[in-house]
Parts: sequence; C-alpha cells; structure tokens
Amino acid sequence: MTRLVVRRLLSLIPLLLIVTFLTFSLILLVPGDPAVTLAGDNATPEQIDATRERLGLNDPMLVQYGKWVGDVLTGDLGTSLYRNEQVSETIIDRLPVTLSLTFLALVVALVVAIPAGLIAGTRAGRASDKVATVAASVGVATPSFLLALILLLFFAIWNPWLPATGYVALEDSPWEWFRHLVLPAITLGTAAAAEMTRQLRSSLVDVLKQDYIRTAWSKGLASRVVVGKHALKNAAAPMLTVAGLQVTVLLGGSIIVEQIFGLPGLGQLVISAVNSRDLPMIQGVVVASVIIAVLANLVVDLLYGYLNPKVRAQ
Amino acid sequence: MTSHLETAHDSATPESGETPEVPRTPWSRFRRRFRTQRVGLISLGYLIFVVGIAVLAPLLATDSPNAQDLRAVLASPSGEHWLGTDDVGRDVFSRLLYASRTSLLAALLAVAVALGLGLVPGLVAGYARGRIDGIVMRIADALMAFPPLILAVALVGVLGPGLTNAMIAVGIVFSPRFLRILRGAAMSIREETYIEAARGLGCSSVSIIGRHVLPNVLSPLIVQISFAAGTAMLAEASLSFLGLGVQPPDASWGAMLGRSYRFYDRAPWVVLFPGIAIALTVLAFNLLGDALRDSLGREER
Repeated sequence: MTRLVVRRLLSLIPLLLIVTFLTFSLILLVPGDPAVTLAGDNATPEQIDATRERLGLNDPMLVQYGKWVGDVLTGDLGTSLYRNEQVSETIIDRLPVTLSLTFLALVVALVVAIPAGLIAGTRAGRASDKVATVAASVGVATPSFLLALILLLFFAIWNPWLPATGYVALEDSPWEWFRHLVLPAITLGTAAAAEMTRQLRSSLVDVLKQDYIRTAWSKGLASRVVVGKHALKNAAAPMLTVAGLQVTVLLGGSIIVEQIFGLPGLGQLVISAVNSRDLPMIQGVVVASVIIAVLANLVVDLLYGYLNPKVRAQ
Repeated sequence: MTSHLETAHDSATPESGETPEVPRTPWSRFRRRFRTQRVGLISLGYLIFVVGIAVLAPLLATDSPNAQDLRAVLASPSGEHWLGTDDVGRDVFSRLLYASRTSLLAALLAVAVALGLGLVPGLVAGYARGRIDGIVMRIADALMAFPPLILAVALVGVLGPGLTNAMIAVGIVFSPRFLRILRGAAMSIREETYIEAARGLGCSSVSIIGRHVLPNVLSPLIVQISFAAGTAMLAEASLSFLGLGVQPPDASWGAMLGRSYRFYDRAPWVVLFPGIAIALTVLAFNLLGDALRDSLGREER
C-alpha cells in the first residue's frame, strides 16, 4: 500500500506541471496585446504599462511561467486586477461553499445510485430495471437549470418549505447550512446519480455472470450475502472510479448551480472574474479547482488500491 | 519464388472466409441491426424532426422571433402566443424554433473542433506509440483533469464571450475524448496483419494511417460523435445560460433560458419550454449513441 501511495504521489508531479502550464497559458489566448485588452476600454497608456508590469509581461514566457508556478507553490496567486484583493484569500473565503455543495451533491448521487443500481443490476431486463434505466437516461440529459426550476417551483415557491437562494456557513448553523444546500445539492447531484446508477448496473450485470457467483449461489448462501458481499464488492470498484470522475464534473457544474441558487462560491467568483476579464482571478480559480479535482481522484485511486489487491501489487 | 509471394498475399486478405448469410458490406450489416433498435429509430426520427424545424423555422414561426410586444409581456400560453411570451413580449414558440438553429449549429461546431483537435494527435499517438504517445497522453490527461465547465468558462473568459468562442472552448475541453478513442483504436489496428502487409509493401506511415487506420476507427468515432453532440449541446446551453455564449438578440435554447430565469416564479413557461427542448434533444443524441454502439462495433457477433 505504501508503494502505491508513493507511486501515485510521484505521478502527480508531471500532471500538476502540465496542468499549471496550461492554466498559465490562458494568457496566450487573450486576443491582441494582453496588457491592452486586460487594462480595459478606457485605460491610459500608464495604466496599460502598469498592467503589463503587474502581469510580468515584459519577461520571456518561460520566465513568466517559472515565476508564476513558484508563486502558486507558495500559495500566492497574485492580486486581482480590479478588486484590491489577494486572489488566494478570496478563493479560500469562497472555497467552503463550493466544497459543501460538491460534497452534498456527491452524497445525493451515492444515496440514489447505490440502491437504484442494485435494483436495476439484480433484476436486469425486468420492469424495475427498465424504469431505473430510463430514469438514468433522462437524468443524464436534463440540464441542471431545468431541474433547478422544477425543484424551486415545488419546494420554494408554491410550497415555501426551503429557501430559494442564499448560503449559511456550517459553523454558524448546521441546520440552516443544510436547508440552504438541499435543493442545490439535488440539482447538482442528479446527473452524477444517473451516471453512477448506469455504471453500477452494468458492472453488477457483468459480475453476476461470473463463476464465483454461481458457486456462491450453489453453496446455498442467502441472496443478501451473494449480492451484498460477493457481487457488490466487485462491482463497486468501477463505480468508485466513476465517482472520482464525477467529482471533477460536479466542480464544473457547481458554476451553474451557484449562479441559480445565489451561493457565493468559486463558480460565482469565476463568472464575475470572466465578466471583468480579471485574468489572475480566473487563473487562480482554475488552478484551485483542478487541484481539488486531482486530489479527489488521488483519494479514489488509493481507495481503489485498498479494495483491489491486484492494483496494489503492480 | 512465386509460391512464396502467393502465400504472403493470402494471409494478408482476412476477408476471404466469409459465411454466406452475413450481409456483404459493413453498411448493410449495420442497417440490418439498426432497424431492430426501436429506441434508436425513434431518437433518429426526433433528431431529423428537430433539424427540419431548424431549416423550416421561417415558415413555421407564427411571429418574428425578435418582434417585441410590450403590451403582452410574460403572457401565459394562449391561442395567439402558443407558448406564451418572454419579458419583452417576444413569442416564445417562434423564438424556440429559431433558437433550434443556433443550438444545433453550436453542437455541430463544438464536435467539429473537438474532432479536429483530437484526430491527428490521437491517430499518430496510437500508431507511433513510444515517446510521442507518452507526451500526447500526458497532455490529454491534464486537460481531462480540469473540471470541464470551469475550463470552458475560463477559456471563454480570455477569448471573449460569443458563440464561436464558446464552442471553440467546448471543443477544446472535449478533444481528449476523441483523442483517446482514436488512439485506442489505432493501437489495436496497428497490430493487424493487413497493416503489417501494407508496411511490408513499403507504404508510408501517413498513407497507412489515412488509408487503413482511419476507415477502421469510423465505428467508435460515429458513436462518440453522437454522445458528444448531446454533451456539447448541454455545454452550449450552460455557457449561454451564463451569458457567455450566443449574444442578443440571437438566441439559443440555453440563452432563452438564461435571460428569462429571473422570471421563473411569475412565468415558468419561458424557462420550461426551452429547457424541455434541450433535455429531449440531448436525450435523443444519447439514446441514438447507445443504439449506434449496439449496431456498429463488434463484427464477430
């Protein structure tokens, strides 16, 4: 296991180098002279020069990248071009909102996907399987804003049970935190739930055809043991991988959900940064989100190694 | 000497031993299987219907898509306005028809960009393997590590808002998918005897990839294009919802939704109908992809 951890951690180094380089390269895509574009429409030549100086655009590109990565490693993501704020501080302020939302969405996805996938996978071809499969297809295709609309109408407008917008920090009131995040988490988690249901169903169908399952049945084991212990454990591994990939997707999807439900997280931050073309802020949010996604997938990989001795031995 | 050449030639034609009941061309084999896919046929029919609507929008619309009627703002569905009106009194039904053009075109554009970016590196990486493969795959993995929508938003942020830039961004985000599929297919095909034969005959790598590898990766590619079109449509809707995609007065389904979202409690229809249009079309692309995957692919079945 230690070898697996070390190997996975080492493999992160090239990945993070490329990821940071790609994030840094965003500046190359700014049309025209970045300093002129980013300084805004009515900038004076002095302001343009100041922007150029602040972004370090006078240095050769690799020097710029080196400086930027060095700063990122020490947790310094620069200063916002428009607000007098440290990018890293702003991101740390907003991070709990996005992490809460993503976490609860993942919980929603698992709570729905495990029973639904189990039912569909063990009754493949029967009516309950068909219902689950169709529901999963619809869930994948439904845009989050349509689902949000339906949830908001039913649970916030027509029946004022839950708040429609806003956020309360967990440390201020756990109950209010939860109440404010229920609808956003369901909105965000539905597509992930659908994706994971499909994955669990198809891997269960495969596993249940295996010889060792037939052996387990013929030994006279209860179906609870055959399915719960033998089949589910083996079918869980591919689902875990999908769960890791879903964290990445959920972090992206949180942009829309935060916008609809008025949650002051990274998604809202990146939208306002994009609207004002605040490049350091955009780069900061992108780097922060990709690092979270990479770490989440690292955890998944290690869990996978824990569940599957074959991976550990490699 | 002659007998030597003949045996070599024989082993290079794998199609010699075909059973009579299997239809001769891959296309007729595909058609026979696809015809039995009811869901796939319905999806295809629906998509053709949507394309028809997009083409015939000017004939079908009951009103000009941009005509404002400030006396009938946020009107509910009625005989005059079948699906109601939006916040400046524009007919939702007519706008929905015209917006289908933008939504379909956007999905097409994003898939084309993704395919264009993934095609050559994917085929070359899978065929060449070794160090080139290593470098290409590292970059593809890195691109896939980004939360997709955040990367797309950031790309639009630096490129500037607008439909073309948004779809270029979505295409960049999706390109690793095509790259991986093409690489995988190229890798398995390069081991086939007929590739070895082509190489033995002195064909260049470029002509082998173009003449032999590319036609053989078409099946997985077509399946992926169908799935990607659905996902691209969702991504376009998301970006336009955030105001980063198509710019007013033009609209896609996502842009219609985004503009009207503040009125959802007073006039749910301005959000509901474009939302349903998106959901149905994405669903159709995905189900078509499933059916294509089952009908194409494994030839030994």
